[in-house]
Amino acid sequence: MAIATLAAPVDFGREVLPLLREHCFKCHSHEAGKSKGGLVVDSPGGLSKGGDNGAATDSGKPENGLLMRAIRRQAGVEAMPPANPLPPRALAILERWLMEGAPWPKSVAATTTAKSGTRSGGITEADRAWWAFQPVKIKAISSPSGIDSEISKALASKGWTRAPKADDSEWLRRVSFDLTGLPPSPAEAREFAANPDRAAAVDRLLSSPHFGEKWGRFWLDLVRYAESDGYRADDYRPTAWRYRDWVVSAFNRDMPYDRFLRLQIAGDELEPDNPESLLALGYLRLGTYEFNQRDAFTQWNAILEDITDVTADAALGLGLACARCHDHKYDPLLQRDYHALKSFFSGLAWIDEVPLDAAAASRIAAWRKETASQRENLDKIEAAHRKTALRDARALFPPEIQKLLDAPREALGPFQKQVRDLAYRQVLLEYDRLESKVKEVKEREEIKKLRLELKAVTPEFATVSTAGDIGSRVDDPVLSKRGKSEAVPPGFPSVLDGMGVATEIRARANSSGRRAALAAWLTRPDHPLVPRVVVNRVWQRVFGRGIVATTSDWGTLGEKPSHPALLDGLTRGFIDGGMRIKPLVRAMVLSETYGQASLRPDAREMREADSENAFLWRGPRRRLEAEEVRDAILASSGNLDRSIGGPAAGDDKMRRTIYLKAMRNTREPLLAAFDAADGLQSTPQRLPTVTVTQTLLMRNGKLTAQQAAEMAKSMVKPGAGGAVDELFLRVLGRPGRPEESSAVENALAGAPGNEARIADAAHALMESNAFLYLD
Amino acid sequence: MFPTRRRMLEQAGHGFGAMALAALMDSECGAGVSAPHHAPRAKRVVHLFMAGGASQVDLFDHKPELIKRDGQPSDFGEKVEAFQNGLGPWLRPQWAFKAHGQCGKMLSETVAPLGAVVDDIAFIHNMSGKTGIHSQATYLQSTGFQNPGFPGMGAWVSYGLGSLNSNLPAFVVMPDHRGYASNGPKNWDSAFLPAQHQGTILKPESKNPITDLFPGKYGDFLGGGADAAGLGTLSRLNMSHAAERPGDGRLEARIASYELAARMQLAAPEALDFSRETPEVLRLYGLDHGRASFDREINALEETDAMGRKCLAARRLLERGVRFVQIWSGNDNGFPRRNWDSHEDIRRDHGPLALGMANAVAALLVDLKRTGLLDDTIVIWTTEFGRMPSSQGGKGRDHNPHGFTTWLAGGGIKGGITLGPSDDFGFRSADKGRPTLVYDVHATVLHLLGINHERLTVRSGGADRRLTDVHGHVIEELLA
Repeated sequence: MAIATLAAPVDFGREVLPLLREHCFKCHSHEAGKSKGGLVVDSPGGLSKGGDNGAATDSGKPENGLLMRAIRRQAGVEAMPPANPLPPRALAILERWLMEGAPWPKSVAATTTAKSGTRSGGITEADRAWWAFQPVKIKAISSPSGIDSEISKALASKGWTRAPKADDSEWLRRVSFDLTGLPPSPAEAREFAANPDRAAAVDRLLSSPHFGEKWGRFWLDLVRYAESDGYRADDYRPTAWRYRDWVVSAFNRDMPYDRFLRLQIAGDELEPDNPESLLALGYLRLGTYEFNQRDAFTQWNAILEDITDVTADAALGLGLACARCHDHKYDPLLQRDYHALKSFFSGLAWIDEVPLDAAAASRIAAWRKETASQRENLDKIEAAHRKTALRDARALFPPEIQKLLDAPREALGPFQKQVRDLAYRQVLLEYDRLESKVKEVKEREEIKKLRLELKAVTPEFATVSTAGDIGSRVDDPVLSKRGKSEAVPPGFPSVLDGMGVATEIRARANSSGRRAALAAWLTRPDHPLVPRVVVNRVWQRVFGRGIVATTSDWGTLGEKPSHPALLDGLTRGFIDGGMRIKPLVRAMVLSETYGQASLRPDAREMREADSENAFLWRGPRRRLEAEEVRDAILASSGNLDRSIGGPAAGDDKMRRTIYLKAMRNTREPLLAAFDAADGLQSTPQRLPTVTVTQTLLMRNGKLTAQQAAEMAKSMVKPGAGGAVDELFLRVLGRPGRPEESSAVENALAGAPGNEARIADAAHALMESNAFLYLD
Repeated sequence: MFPTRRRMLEQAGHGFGAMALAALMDSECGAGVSAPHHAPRAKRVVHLFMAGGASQVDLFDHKPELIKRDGQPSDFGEKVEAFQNGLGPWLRPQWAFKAHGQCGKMLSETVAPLGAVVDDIAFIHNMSGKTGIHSQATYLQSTGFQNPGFPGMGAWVSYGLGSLNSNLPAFVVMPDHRGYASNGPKNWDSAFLPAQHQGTILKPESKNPITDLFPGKYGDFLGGGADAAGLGTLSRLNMSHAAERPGDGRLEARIASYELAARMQLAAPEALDFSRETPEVLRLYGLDHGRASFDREINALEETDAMGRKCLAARRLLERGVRFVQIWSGNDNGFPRRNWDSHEDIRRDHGPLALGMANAVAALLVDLKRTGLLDDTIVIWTTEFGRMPSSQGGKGRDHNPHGFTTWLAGGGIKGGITLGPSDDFGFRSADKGRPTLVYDVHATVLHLLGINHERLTVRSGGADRRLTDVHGHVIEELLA
């Protein structure tokens, strides 16, 4: 372990710079305005120029450099830091860095000599030259063999080779989970054993409706999908699932990625007549919401900033959140860039309970007509109480917001309207609660009764909560900095200004056109980030590690691509092919690289030098994801309900896990234990942990025990032999290896057909590593 | 830096074998801070959280001016936003105050039991938050951020320091037995830290004190001996599987997790077995009342019992090497009130809650001192915000995010002191521009644990995240 970390070069931004800042900058930096002994150590120039005693570093003999000798407190130089020696760990890092020749990335250099919080000189040529901002220039790679040849080239450069082909049953289990999140059924396993046509299997899986359930989930992780408000009340959002279903269906239909993004960001502006737009715009409704927040100004800004962050994370692969409060310390992202991006969303309006289609609209219209007098009657009785409720709710807001609530809505400016509407939700909530708040018993009971009567004749309409703009004219967000306030119009990150400026914004009747402009820019085929980022994410899903390992962190602190030509080739192919995900996945999983065995016990050298398998010298091996664990257990017992889509279900239902109610505060224990995304922050990769909580849940929890028991029951039937083979096929989707089979045979020995014994064996198999890990 | 190394270990998928195992077992030497940033003064933390908003002026922050002006129209000298119309006349503290200890600290009679240990306590009376919203204020105090998605303080400590006893979780949470506080389990979530750092809920009153520690009724069919047989089969399966895949630490870690689970099955009930305590200790915690049920109305006896059990469990857990114990008093908003959100009646609700808390917490401090644990255990008492010095509806108090009290005791803390102060009414920091913030408290606690709060970072969402966001100063005056 120690070797693996120490062999890597020191990470300047994360390891060295903080130490310099902590121990040296106080006396030797522009930040502090001090250069004791004539020395500043906040830039490479400062080091080579040195101080009164000459250069601080010695490129030929690093160990002779003044700085090295000073921190080592050697004789003949003034010891640094003067008072106390560096802690051993800090010393070790600085020593290593100096021995490596004190490399100082250009991208970082500009930031350290500036005053904190600003990048002097804005964006430099060096910033623009960062690899991820360059156009994709390479020839397309879109075939399995194209992938293999790039991977082989890199392996050959090390003198390494690919592993032998994975055996067919291992490969089928791998590809079934990777494409659908489910194990192969016993029938599928048998069929494939008889006719191991890998291309045919892949095509079957790609056209399975379960493909979207598996691959939609990866997008839901990125956009922090959940179905409740979070915070204290954590109220359920009854139509949020419609967005989840739309995502699943978009992956099943292989919707081009650019259109997929456009519909979510600006479906209302770009495809107003497409009913799908209403569903896709659920993207803009996924943030958390505190129903009790009185400072609606701040709250609304936070909502817009949350959407800005998520969009940057998911689509651009750039963590912008730092730039919300100041210019990014290391990456060329300015605070102004952040607010310019936010400005695209500044027209946002929440629109609730929109009929999904014309049919739903006419049903609602008919209901309105039928219940007109009923509702009128109720309104009459409620009117006076609503006045009280409004007064009470209003009184809780600060005066600026009370003013907004008092004014006629049409008299308000766009931003004021947005804030007013947000605050007004709390008034509406009070109206809803009238039946418990009205003090006079008789009237309260009357309201309750009438509401119940109305409810009895109100069916569930097909509606959805969606989003749009507040109007055609919207207010720019205001950036306040050092006492100056500035309204920031929409704009793209400065470092990408070769990619055009946001001038082409065309307002619509009811919306500003800003989101449409952003969507158009993000989906430009020559965008250097967006297609690369998604291609890399797909690679990461398939191979377990991105070509850029930091899949949402493409700035200078992220990792550089392990196979740059492959990444760009695949991206080119992806763009040329119409930005479709399925062909990309198909090429990857049909490659020999994917098809190689993950077992390679003899490959000691490669294992030690590349323990992360970045070079793909063996097939991927991963733990099942939380959803796969539950789904596979239910599938093996035969209880899995494979129906697609629909309202969320409780965990007593045997639906696939993606359809379970996704509450933010109280997650399913299994999902929490097995590292599922939490719906709070964009999750590009889950962090698979090994914990005792998981082990207790698998050993003593209800799910495994119940399903193992039911599985045993279904297996003990007159004339049903071959329990051992059947067990392996059902739980693992492959036959047992000899050692495995003999362990299970042993457990059943002497009592064939004993239900409890079989249940125990099934239970053991369900919590085994052979089940939890995918070779 | 160490988090990177730590992360590599925890993902554990990269052929580190024995090291992955060590990360799972997480013994003292194998923890995240390979060497502390500096010499620690403390090893363990007890975090006491009064959910709903405990009143500073009725418990710890003595304000003669408020007594003098009782009933006069309140005037804050500035525009104040109430959460619920709570700007009635000044309302005097609902209990008399008396000097305690050598330090002569004035304490309200409803927390008078703490007088016995007041010379060990350092009070901060100028705490300030950012919001009067329960959820956000609770997040701020528990995770350092107002919005969800960040690890609880205990998760950071577990991540940074690891466990002192691999048979028990490093971070244990005892929620109020009547329900969660605002945000529920999200207050002790691991968020972007690896899952093993999230707080493990422990219910001292339950037969199955940790979820799934023992088989539930669904496991009953397995019957005698079957569990062992199943484990035997499992072990054979896992051993042969791992042998074919050398160098995959994850597989070895999972095998080890069964041994750990078995040890936890012994360790957790043992840690919660109060029958091993002497009658004197049970009396100390107020657990010698011999009653099996309590009155329906909120009462101090029951509150003492509830909090006493948690505090005694905490001492036993700390003794056994649990790193961070979080105890919650008060469920989420609800009626009848079993939380500190006394909008309606301070006397009715704060009275028994505070007395029960003070009995139990005083016992905890005495006991920690008696056992020597207090030398390297930090005890923090806090809440999400304070309450207004003005009245709401005559007898209650509204939320006050501008001023509240937090106190600390134990390892490395200078006892018998009071920092702040708050203004004459206990409304906010006397030096308005310089309140003490939760970041400062967090920075100080990490400092005492040997961690530089600016250097315990984890990269998430394109930013190096830390418990103290971009803030926090170690409160030097607190350090012994």
